[in-house]
Amino acid sequence: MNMRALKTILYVEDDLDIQTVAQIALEVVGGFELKICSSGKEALVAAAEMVPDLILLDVMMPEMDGPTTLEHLRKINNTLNTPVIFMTAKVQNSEVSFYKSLGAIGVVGKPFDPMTLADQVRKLWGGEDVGL
Amino acid sequence: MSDSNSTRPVVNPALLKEMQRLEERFFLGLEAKFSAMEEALVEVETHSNSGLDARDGLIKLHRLLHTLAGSAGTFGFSSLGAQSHCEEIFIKEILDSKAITQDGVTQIASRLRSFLVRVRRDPRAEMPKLNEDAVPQANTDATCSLTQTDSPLSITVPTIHDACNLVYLVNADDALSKEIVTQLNFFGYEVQILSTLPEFEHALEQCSPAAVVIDAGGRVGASAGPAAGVHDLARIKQKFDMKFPVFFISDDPSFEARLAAVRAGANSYFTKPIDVLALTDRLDSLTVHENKQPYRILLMDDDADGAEYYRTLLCHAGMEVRVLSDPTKILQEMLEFRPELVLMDMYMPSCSGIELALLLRQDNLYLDIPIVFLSSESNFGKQMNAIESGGDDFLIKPIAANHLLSSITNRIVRYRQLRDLNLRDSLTGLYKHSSIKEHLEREIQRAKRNQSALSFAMIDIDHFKMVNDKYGHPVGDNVIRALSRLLQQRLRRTDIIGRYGGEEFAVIMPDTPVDVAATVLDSVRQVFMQICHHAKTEDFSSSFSAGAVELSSGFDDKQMLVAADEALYRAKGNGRNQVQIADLH
Repeated sequence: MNMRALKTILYVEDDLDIQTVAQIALEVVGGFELKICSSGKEALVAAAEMVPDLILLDVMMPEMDGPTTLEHLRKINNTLNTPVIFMTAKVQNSEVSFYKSLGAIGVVGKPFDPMTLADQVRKLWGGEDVGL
Repeated sequence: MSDSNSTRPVVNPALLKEMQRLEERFFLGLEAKFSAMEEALVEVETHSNSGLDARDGLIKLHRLLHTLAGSAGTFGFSSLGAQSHCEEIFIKEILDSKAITQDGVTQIASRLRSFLVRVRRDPRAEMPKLNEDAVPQANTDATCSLTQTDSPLSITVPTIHDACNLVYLVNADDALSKEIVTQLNFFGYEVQILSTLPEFEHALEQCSPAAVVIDAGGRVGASAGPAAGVHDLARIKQKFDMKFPVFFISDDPSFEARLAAVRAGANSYFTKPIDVLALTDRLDSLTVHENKQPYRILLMDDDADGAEYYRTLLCHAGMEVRVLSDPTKILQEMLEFRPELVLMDMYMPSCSGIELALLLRQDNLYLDIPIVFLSSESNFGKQMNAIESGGDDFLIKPIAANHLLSSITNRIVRYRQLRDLNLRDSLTGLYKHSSIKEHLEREIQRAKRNQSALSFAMIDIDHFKMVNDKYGHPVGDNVIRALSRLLQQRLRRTDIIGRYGGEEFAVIMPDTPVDVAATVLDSVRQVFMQICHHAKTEDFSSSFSAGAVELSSGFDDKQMLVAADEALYRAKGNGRNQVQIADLH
């Protein structure tokens, strides 16, 4: 359970359409500070230079997918223990447990509702088991 | 998904507007996504045909579908997202199987092309209805649940075919199968190949198709010959209470063979070599269900309560009703709403119903629109006046609901029939020259008012005179019909298509910037090139050139026509078989 307020998010997503909507959903609606990366590689570079409160990670990306990106992020000091939420279009319970076994605090299903995304993220951050 | 998630916070208007802008951008970007899928599919097919590994292409295709499945719903296209998810899962299954067979690729291609035709036509359309009996009982993870598609976390998927464009092909030899599958795919049909009647029978247990094509020329049943399998087919037909059309193809042109086919319940009989386009044509005419738009009714009534009663009544009957209480707004409403019937009260504040009817009839556009008076006026003389002023009918309040509905329905049905006769070309069913110009004028006004994009294009079949001279006019007509059908299949429902002249077509694409319009037309062009036309002496293919232009400020319909024509001329000059965008300096 996280009692601290959620402020900065490292967000990794390759689909530009979704990036833009999520940016509005998280920055404007949610009031978070966002660092957006378009690939796993970008995320590794970004993680060397910032200490995010939370990592929001798309699962299926070309070249380096979400789980692999996470594996690498865990080797970087700034993101050794940062809570992670996966985003994916496939949400079957078995998959959710798989992502949790990788250490994720939750999964956000796609397509998401831009008006409630921030809320959903905040609840997962606070330890609520939404979406399952 | 927990309930607390469904409460949306109060949204500020600027944010909503921004979301709308993004939705529009997403919509305009769809064609590029569809084209990318098509490209990936072609790569998969090419690799598979030449014995190479198709896996990389399939992975690309899978990712494209997966991405769209995840994003479409966020932008208000939840049905598109669900359908993409469906295709994604199908491809995933084949990717997960040990080897990617050519059959697997054919199946993917068939499904995906049919998916693309569907979503290009109308990306917001509902997922095709499924045959309920055919929903598999096991494998619940993959079973489709249409009611849940709006809930982001519970999208599940159908793995069975939608029946509305599925065609079973029974017993055809490989070469013929391939040709039929390819050509039918172009027109949005999905073909499933079955090698025997028992297989067909088994398939029927899974899903009822839009039609079945049976090759009776060879191995149907035990004995050879056209009468083969007739008995079996009759039995199958009875068992499944088959309502879809049955097409026979055969080597045998004799009377006896045709009679046998009739007795077996065939709706159509084609002799080899098969003119696949003619077969498609026939298939279309027997299977295409006209997309019935709801009747549009303008209700003129200054009494809000009364209007509300009739509005509810008509809406319940599935009609689209707009209520207008201020008669001075009627002309604007006629243009925008384009009612198919005006239902009006006799007495209104600033003018009478009779005056209003006369006013409408002054305009050539509204000479034929049914005007029905609905009033408590019981004076017969005044009723006659109303009819003489141009009213079509006089209904007296209070009126029984079914009486009102039936007299309105009858008039609109007739109005639609007459309109179609007057406005549509008899060969293609597309809008004629004069009405496409009217539409263009109207769309220009609308685009200017809404400050939205509008594209217009002229299309001309290349070397058409040569086709006519070499193969005869009936064959030329078939080429025109093929292009007309392809345009209707490939363009969106909101696009307006007309036959402008002999081999010339015009297309109006509302809310579409010209680069998107050109991309769409180019994808139609590529498909058109691949269609195989059939003449007595040989098979041939055809192509077209197109010129597209976008509405810019100060443009009127004539200038748009000229600009599109110039671009078309340039396309012809550059070697034909291409789409050019008008150069506006």
